[in-house]
Amino acid sequence: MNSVLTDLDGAELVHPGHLGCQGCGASLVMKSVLKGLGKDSIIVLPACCWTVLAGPFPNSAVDVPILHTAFETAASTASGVKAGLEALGDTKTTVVPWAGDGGTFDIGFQALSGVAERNDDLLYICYDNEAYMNTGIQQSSATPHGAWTTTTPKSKKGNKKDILRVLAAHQIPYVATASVSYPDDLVAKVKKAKAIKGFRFIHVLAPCPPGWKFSSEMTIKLGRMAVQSRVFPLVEVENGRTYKLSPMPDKTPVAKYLRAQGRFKSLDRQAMKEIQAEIDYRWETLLQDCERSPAPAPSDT
Amino acid sequence: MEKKKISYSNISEMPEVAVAEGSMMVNKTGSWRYLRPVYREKLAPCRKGCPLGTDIPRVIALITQEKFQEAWELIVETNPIPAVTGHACYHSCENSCTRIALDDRVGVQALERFLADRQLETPFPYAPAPATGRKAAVIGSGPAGLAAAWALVRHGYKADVFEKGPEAGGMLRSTIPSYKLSRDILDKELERLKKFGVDFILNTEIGTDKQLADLGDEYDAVIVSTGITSSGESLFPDETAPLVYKGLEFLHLVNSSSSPEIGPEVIVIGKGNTAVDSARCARRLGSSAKILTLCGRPAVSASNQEIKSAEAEEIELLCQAEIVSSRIENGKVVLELIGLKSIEEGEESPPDDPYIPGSEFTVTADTLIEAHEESTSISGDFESFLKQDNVFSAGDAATGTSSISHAMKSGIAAAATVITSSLEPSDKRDEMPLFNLMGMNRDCFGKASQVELPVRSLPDGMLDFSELIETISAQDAVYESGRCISCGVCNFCDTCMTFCPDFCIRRIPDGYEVDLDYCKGCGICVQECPRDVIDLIQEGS
Amino acid sequence: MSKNKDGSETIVITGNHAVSYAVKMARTQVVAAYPITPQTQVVELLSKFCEDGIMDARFIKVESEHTSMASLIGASSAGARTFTATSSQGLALMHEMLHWAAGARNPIVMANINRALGAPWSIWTDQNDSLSQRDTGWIQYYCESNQEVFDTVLQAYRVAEKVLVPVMLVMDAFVLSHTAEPVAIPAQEKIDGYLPPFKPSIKLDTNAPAAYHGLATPDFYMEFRKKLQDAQDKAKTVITQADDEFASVFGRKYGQVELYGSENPDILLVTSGTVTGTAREVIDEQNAAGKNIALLKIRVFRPFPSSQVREACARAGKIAVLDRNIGFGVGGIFAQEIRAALYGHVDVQVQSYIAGLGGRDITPSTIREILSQAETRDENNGESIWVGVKE
Repeated sequence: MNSVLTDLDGAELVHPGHLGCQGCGASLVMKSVLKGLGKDSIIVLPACCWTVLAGPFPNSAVDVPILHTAFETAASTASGVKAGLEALGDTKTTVVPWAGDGGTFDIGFQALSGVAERNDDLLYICYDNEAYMNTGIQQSSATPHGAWTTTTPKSKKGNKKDILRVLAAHQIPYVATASVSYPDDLVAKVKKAKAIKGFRFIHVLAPCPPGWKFSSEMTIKLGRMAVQSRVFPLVEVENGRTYKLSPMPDKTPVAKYLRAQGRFKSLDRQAMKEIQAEIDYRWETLLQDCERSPAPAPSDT
Repeated sequence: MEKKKISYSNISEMPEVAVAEGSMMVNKTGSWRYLRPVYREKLAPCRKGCPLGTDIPRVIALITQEKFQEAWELIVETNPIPAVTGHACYHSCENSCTRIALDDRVGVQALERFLADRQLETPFPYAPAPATGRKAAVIGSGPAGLAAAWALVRHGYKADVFEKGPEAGGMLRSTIPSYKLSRDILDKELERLKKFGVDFILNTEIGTDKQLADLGDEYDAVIVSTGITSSGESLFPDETAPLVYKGLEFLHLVNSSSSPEIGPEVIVIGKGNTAVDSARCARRLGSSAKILTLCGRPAVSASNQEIKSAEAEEIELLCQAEIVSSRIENGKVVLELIGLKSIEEGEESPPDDPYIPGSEFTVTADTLIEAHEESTSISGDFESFLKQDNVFSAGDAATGTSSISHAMKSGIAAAATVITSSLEPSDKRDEMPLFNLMGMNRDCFGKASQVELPVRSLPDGMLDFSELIETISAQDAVYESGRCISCGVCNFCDTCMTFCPDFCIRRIPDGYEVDLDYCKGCGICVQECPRDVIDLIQEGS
Repeated sequence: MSKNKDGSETIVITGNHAVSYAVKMARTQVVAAYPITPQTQVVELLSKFCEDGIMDARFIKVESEHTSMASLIGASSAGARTFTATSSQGLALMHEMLHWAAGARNPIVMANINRALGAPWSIWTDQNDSLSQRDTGWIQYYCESNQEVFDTVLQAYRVAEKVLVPVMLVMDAFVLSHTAEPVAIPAQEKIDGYLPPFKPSIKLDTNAPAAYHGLATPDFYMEFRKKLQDAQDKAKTVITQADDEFASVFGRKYGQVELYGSENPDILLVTSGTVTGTAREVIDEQNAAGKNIALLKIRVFRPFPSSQVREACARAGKIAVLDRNIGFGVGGIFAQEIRAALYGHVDVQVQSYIAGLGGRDITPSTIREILSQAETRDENNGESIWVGVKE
């Protein structure tokens, strides 16, 4: 019953005092990921909420080294860190580019694609709160259709970029989605990814109370609803071709998820129906991909 | 890692680049908070429903951890005969189980029985309090008397239990059929009570073998728990066995060595457990059996589980009918009945014409067992005796027909009154807020069906007086306990810790502690707690 | 190839390849680069060295110059010796990360092949790309010859790693980058003696976890800027020390500036980069004809060698600055820097001549024209004179 997150046999690598908002989902992503990785890790941190969360000089909320860097350079700076460590004979440290959705889907996308194509030995974590939250809730290409942001004052038109498939198309060894609301699954995926060599990408949904407009106690609930409604299925893709669903809860209507958030206030029933149809289509496609996935080659296991 | 607190007052002390070696622990984010999480245990519906107030969620939590003896020890804090209740109590606790809203109740009875059967030889985990020098007499060794005596001994009294029969146990022995409660089990529990210090004075009927007045002189207090001995009015006051029995008398005969004589067709009149027990015993004696409840189905007071078992044993339950006339004809009981209109929900009184026209029917039987409303036996001398200051009544004798656990509760309450000054209130339930279903996190609970009770296999259609239901395995017990929601009671599931986004909840020996230096008051722990253990209160309130 | 008495070998190579050889012999550990004309040869040869196993470095073939600089910031922060090369648009794309590298105090060495910036497109030389980066916090060397290029790479690492400031080595597109000249390549042991392995005092360390370059509030930010400025100031001494020691080991010395000719000339011509070589010829020719002209080559632009410039200009009649760049809205950038250095110290006319933009040849006659104009002009209104513009 007890969660891996509270397994106190190792030192806690992230501690209280950080500057996350009340109910911040992103803070829990750090806790889960570091639980999976342990202390031999270096985080490369571009501009994102965690730039603030980690705390200003001369303090840090995280007990592994953090290299802060410019917005679009999570992947590229990390790639250099890894090369530098290797040059000095360190092969055991896991280098973790750690970016939000803006730094991953948008401004950091080119560099991300570059490291993916080179299959650099990095474990990339994208914590996705579906907009530029740190700058005050502006639309990113991870913002879902129909969501309010300060730059989509009515609602965003157009779909969220399907980063999972984009990364899978790079045919890297490991791509996965995970959620703060399913920490055991998240930690297990981090541990699995840690053991793989090459470029690994984990996309973690991190609900954001102020940005999604819900009350701070609902963060985990919202993350769960996203998975239940299939808005954010938990899935793994190995080598760009083997799709595998993680254990999924029973399917629920997307309207329940949308209505729980103020940012979707403008959606009427028709709009919700259309979103449901889109979700259903994507879910079916994903199930088909899982179905026709080849069994992983023995060398992959 | 403990990090140093860092401050710089001039440029030369500062590092060449902005390398932060201090800890954000210096930033006490607790100052952001305006709501505060507080761990506050709630009263689980099962515990509320248990007459003895047994801390059922905690007992079950211990089973999940496979701490079987500890779980049993927690039961015997409030219940001195857990095997008896595990086998024969109707477990009203299960009726209010929250789990019913998800799939099916948690099998508390099966779990209690599992624990108690494992520990039949285990003495109580506590010793009696040092002797006070005071002594009490308990009249009757049924569940009320046993519980009263146990409570008295536990608090330093000497307790003598007077039993008119040759063996202790009262209705547990004389009324409860052995296919529900094996006498071996009862004997073991009595043995434990004896070892604990309860003295049984057998074959001694008060009023006959010993006088009430003497008891009053000999003992500091007397508890009258004589149970029920007679069962209501009869349709045929002049008829006798084997044509007509009173329910309790019939059960007494069944439970004594001499099997009562009955005909091939038996009708039982009554709506309570005595009626069902009588019918089931009649089946075991080789007869067919029908039960005439003389009331609507909702008014039937026998436990659902008993009715189900009876139906499985091909006992017909006739409800919603009234006897128009009765007679003895050719050595058979003949009852003329008419169907009653059912009272719709929400209607206060029966319709003006309650009968269904044309619904008349006749039933005949070789034997009639009358097991309707039962009454107490307290009368005459006892009534005036009870007026004395140091004499108390308990159990069915005091309250009328109830259940084993209600009788025990009554016995313990009487003992508490006797002891007064020294007995700490063991039941803190009144002080506890009630578990609220809205505070439960349903997402934490998937569907899981109740464990199937093992039934002793018998040749087709055959029934006997050995226990029908068997004790579940340890593996099943752990499974079943895992279904428990542990309503309102922390079972150390770590959910609050796991989801605290400020990492400020930590384990302490009895649960968890929120570090208020850092808690921002987001409320996630409250929302996520599967079982309504944490409340969010206004800061400063 | 010829073996020299000092153990070096002289080979004839382009400026680009002089960089590649020096970077290899500096035992650089991480290279990250993106192709751009006219730099590409530098990294082509480096990738071959790596591929052939004669250079023990990680070569990250990045998808942009921005990424090459970001990668090197990462590698340098991990404690590795790093290198990249770029030019023009690529350098401009790096701009953000140039600030970051300097602020993070990563001693990265970069070769920038001076190339004009678009629009319109040009692949030929001028200095606007590197001079646009003058306030990023980088040290800048401008080289005149392929030997100087080779030697400056080694000096650059010495200086960068001593003061923890990145160094940009600059040379002209094609005129130097693609022109083969004899270059003496010292023995590896000598280079190793001059340039010991990089052992940074601050680097990422999982045993001493800390956060690097996080938010510095107004309470702290200014001190870090001051420290970078202090490091640039310190670099003035360190650059000279590195040059002196280089001279003692390898027998070549360049100075931060080089005065060629008389100490009290009527005209002091100031140049940087390859045009210096041309200017030497013209001055020799003019002085032989009875003129009194000297040449001041500025090799180090950042930190600006103000005191050396003042000293060289103190007894000159006029200063004529040849700028292969244009600070729009002001004029030649070297001229502005020199005026600023002299102001309040040396009262002398500083004339600004703009020439050779976008790779237009600066021939001896271009320089003759500048000198002739300088001789006759007697104004000091600060305006730049464009030389060789079609009229």
